[in-house]
Amino acid sequence: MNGWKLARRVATMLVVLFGVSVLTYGLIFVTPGDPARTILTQQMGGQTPSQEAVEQFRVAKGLDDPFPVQYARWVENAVQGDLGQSYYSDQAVTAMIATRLPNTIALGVASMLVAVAIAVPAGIASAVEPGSQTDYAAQFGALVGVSMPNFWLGYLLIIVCSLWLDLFPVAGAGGLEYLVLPALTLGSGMAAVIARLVRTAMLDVLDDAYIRTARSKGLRERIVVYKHALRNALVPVVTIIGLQLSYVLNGAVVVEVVFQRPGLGTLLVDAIFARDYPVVQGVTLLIGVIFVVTNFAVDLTYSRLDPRIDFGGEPT
Amino acid sequence: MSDPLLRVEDLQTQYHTTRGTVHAVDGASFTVDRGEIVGILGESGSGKSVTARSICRLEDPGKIVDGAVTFDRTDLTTADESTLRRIRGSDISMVFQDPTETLNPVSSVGEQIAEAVRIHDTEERQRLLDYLGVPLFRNRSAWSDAHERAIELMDQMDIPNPESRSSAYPHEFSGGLRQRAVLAIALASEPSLLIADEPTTALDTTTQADILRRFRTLRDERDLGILLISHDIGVIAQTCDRVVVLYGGQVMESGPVETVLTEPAHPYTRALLSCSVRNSEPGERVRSADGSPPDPVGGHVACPFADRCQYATPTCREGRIPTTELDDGHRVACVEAPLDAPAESPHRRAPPMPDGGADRDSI
Repeated sequence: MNGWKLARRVATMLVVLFGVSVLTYGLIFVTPGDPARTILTQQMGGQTPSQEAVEQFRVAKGLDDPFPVQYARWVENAVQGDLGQSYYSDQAVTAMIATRLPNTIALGVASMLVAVAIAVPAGIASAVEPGSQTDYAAQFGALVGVSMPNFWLGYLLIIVCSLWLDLFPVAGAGGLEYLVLPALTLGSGMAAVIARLVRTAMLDVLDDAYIRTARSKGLRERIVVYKHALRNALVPVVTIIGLQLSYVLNGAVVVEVVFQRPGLGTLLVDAIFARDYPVVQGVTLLIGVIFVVTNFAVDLTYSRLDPRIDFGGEPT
Repeated sequence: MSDPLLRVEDLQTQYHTTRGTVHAVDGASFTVDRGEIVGILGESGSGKSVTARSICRLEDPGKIVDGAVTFDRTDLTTADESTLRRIRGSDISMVFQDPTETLNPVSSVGEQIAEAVRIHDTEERQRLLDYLGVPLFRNRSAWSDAHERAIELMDQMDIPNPESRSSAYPHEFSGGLRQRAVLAIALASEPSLLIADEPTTALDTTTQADILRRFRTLRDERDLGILLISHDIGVIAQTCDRVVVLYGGQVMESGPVETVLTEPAHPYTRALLSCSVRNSEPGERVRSADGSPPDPVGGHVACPFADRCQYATPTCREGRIPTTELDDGHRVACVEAPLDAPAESPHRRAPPMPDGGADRDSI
């Protein structure tokens, strides 16, 4: 990897983040409804607020400035770690995020682990014996997993595992036992996509000439598959896992609501309904940053996985 | 020892496709002994590579339906998977066509050679975590010995700077070096039989000559039996002791190289030789054989070459052609054999000669 390419890549990432921040911040100005009126109406128990109160609110929150000024102020503060205050609680957005983020990260990591733990062995089992019963079973499972909506699978798991079998708590957050069902719900959908990709990538690789070489050396089939084939099949798989992160963050919204888990998803949904723009902006920006940074990290792994790939996915 | 190292008898390998059953190898028989290089010559689609893979039982997705492959008194067609693995790892090694594709791109060359060394060394089970290099499970001393041996093997194959090169990846090697690395892998187990499937096809002429020279050295110094598969008459001519001409999965002619290539008794061998550039006069168009190789779907009830053969008679299409022995070791499957001397072409005076890579300067 050379420094010039890395710098170029970081620069691209900054441009993307700039775009993300403009869109996130600008979103408020294109959505219908005046936040000042909405919030004051709510605070006054449904009464229409007076014009002075609205003006006062706008000045206090800096909403009377032109868009570029507001945006510049927001970015300046955001860079310093201040995402503003919630319109309702006057709590700092960063503090609100900080209390919720660990739950969402735990959910994301756990569901990724579930997904990979199911998908990789299933995909390999399919690819090793294409057309076998194992293959059909795995593919059928993948189809079910892809087709099943998260909220439905979530409720199904609650009914079966919590209400009938009494194995796990119904909802909430806390220890590992609270994580099992949400992670299964979110992970199974991803597992389906990843398993199909592992199967395709492995089928492709298992036909390659170096696999024949490995077999002709007298290697056990297990070593041929896991050492020689899997590693070559990993590049597309890791790419898709990186992209699946958006699925995790979107899915977290639904899954956290279903399981009543305090997390970024529930925070975002509540803020959107309440037109609590600083919170919406803060969470959206954070999700954007997580996504961009993760995919940057995925790019970094390519050259580790395949020495022929120079940094940034460009073949040497 | 009276038994040859490798005896292939009436080998039949078939594939099932949507178009029907492909009889890729259709009753081929030949032997390879220690210290000799036997060439299998044929066009693409003649069943050469499938023959090679069938010997090591790597014919999948094809199936061996009949015949026997006897290696050192073990019948490989009936041997179980673990016996086969042991034989592949230590007694029979293979070198395949394109060294760009036959080396694992994500594993260092040294590691790939060391693996072959370790397979040969350990009688114990190969453990996945050990081979994957998971820290706690990796047998460090065994691997560092194997890597040392790998460097030695690279040195024997004249790969420059073997110590530093062993941690390089295949894409950092040139084509010729890669094929030498492949040879190092093949020789790591000190095999008694080497099967080389078009080992020089992807290489340039100079590198090709180098690899072929190495084959001859291995034959002479290690008493290695080598089965060399090629479509190139020149490669066969300059390297092999005996040659087996394959067509439609059947052996057309076999015997000592000099006999078969200078006094070909089978019309097919003759056709192949007349296509050789060497046998064209300057300015003359290079000849090509009329027609195309037979459709292997469904196999052949008669001579597979009958449709392209200028000597074909009704007898040729009536059933299996018996193999006759003309003189010592020279066998031919043709009812018309031995043929009369070929019709003199007005342009050509000398008997047909194969192309030769090594003696090209003498032309």
